[in-house]
Amino acid sequence: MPEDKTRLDARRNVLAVLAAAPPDVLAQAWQDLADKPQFELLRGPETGLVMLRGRAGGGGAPFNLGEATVTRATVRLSTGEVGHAYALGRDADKVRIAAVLDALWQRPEGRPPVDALVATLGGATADDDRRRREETAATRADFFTMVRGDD
Amino acid sequence: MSAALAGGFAEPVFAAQKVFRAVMDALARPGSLQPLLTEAIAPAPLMPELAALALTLLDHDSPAWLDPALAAAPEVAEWLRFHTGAPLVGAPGDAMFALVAEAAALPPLDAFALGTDEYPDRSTSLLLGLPKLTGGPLLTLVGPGIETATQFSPAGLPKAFRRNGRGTGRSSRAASTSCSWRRARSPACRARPASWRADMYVAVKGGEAAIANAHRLLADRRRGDRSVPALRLDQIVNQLGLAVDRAMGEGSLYDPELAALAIVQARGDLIEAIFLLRAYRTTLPRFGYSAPIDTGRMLIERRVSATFKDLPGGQLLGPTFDYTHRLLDPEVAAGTAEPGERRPADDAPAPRVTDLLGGEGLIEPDSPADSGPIGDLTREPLEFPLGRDLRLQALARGDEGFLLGLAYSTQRGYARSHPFVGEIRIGEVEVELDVPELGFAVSLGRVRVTECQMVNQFKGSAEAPPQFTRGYGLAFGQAERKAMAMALCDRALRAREFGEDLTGIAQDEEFVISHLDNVQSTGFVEHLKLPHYVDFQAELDLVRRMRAEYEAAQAEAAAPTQEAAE
Repeated sequence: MPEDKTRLDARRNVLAVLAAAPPDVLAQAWQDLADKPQFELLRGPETGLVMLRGRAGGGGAPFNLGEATVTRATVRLSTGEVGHAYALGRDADKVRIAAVLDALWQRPEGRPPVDALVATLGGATADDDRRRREETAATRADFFTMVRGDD
Repeated sequence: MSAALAGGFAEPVFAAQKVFRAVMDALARPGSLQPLLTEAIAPAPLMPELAALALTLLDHDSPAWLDPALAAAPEVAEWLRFHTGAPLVGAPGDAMFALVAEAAALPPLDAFALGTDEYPDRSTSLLLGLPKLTGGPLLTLVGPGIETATQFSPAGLPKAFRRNGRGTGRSSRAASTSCSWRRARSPACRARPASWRADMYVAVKGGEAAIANAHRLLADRRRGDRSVPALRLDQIVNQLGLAVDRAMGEGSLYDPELAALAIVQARGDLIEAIFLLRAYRTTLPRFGYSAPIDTGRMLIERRVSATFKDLPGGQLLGPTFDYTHRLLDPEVAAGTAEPGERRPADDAPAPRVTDLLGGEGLIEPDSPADSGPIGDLTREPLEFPLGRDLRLQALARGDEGFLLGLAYSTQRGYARSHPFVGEIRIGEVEVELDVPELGFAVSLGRVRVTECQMVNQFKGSAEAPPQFTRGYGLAFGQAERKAMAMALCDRALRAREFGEDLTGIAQDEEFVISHLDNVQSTGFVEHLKLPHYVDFQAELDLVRRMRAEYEAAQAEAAAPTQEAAE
């Protein structure tokens, strides 16, 4: 099933926003969803590890930094669409909901509600990031070098 | 697509345990037939028995080879990738497991990995599907695991199996049974450092009630005065964040809530908490390896350079202890604090200092970004000398106190390094994982890390002109001291690479890497307090005998003198 670039990028964004979403927010979004699809679990939700990698010097050869807990799930809607979700942490409910939303997004009538949810969640993350950037910016120091021996 | 995604175990953990038990029994009793679960449904020609074994034995770190019959069906490969994560290899010699549906067409055994005498577990284990395990030519089996001899008559077993050689592992077959007639090899076989003492452990009995009561008392003391509210994990994550970060870093497991649990359970003993996290991680499967994190695209919470005051993006102090007066503040106990001040910020990424300086050629560039296989000390025993990849992994999970002391020693002259902080940055980076069933990389969320670039003067060598070289530190969470110590130790350990004189202990790779892990160190030091009664009794007898011999010799030496004096 060849996916064109725009659709693929859009789905990547959906998955990224769902992975970053706070579990309680996603649970509430699921509660509020008007037409909940029927689905079966094909795999998981199950928790495992992903080895996180860094690069020597920041940009050089990769090395294994340490592991993180990751939970994943794969679901299939009664209409056949398969949805996947992976997220840091151990929250099984969050990942199951995310996988269903990924599957739902692939249906023409499912996309608008999922896109709306993703826009809301993405906006909240962007606001939070902005607040943190601004708090950090307030600690910006301008150091002056004094010439030694001047007095 | 869906056929490849269906048909796994309904209860993966329990089913895999059952199948694993059957495999262990088959290996322990060569020639015996063991029942196998057959509920896994894989695309043909992968029969349910082989599918069950694959689900049980294969994972992301066990390359598998498919025989031509299985390889001819792409759905089989897709099913295995989705359900086991195992990489599929083209050459049988690269495989840890070989799945064979058509035993008659088995390649010669020497096409598979044979292992070595030191690492027999590096051989390929063969999983053969046979049409029947009875009614074939009668074989007589003798050897380890068999008291005298046992008989076995599989149908369709390749002739190669009737010879002796270095064992090739396991065999299974269709018809809901699994069997094996080669000696089991422990995959947990691990090399130990030559310095390990072969202690004789003698079982001690008794003390069960005392131990149970000690654990109960531990739980009571851990909880303490019941009129004081119990700590919640979110309180620890939020208010003891740097302890959580340290436990995650040295526990080598990023999960703030688990680290908080470990800290409470350990009553605040961080090394005990780290031990708990390390033990926990061994219970989880590994899904894969992330794409290397890009610290250049960090959501920055702190970023300073001690060498370049006017760096683009600015000196951002962030939530630092620097420039505080280190005076105890009673107001902290009151639990009140004002929110952080805010100033307009731009979204432009802040380039790494070392990238800014690269242009002039006065600073060592990054090593090539693609460098072949990446070592993993949680999977393979360490063999010195190490590559920088393994050293960095060991340093990243190493004890902060140990590395800090070594780092200090390099500044005091026990390895010439003359370091400057090129840059320290702390913040969140995105983690991406390539997901085979999706066919693209997905974001898993963000983790907080601390990165330190140390810049060190280098006088040059026959191969390289004088320039600044670099040491690198990277740690989970906000862990500035750790990242700095790591960077200093990384640079010191590169002495051989730069042809420098080895003058300090921090440059001794075998010494540093073998002793930096606090879980290993505490295990070996703390085991001394466990019962060694029989051991010590033997030593006591030895010392008594030596003392008697010594006293006898003293008496003998004294005797002629006495005579002479008389």
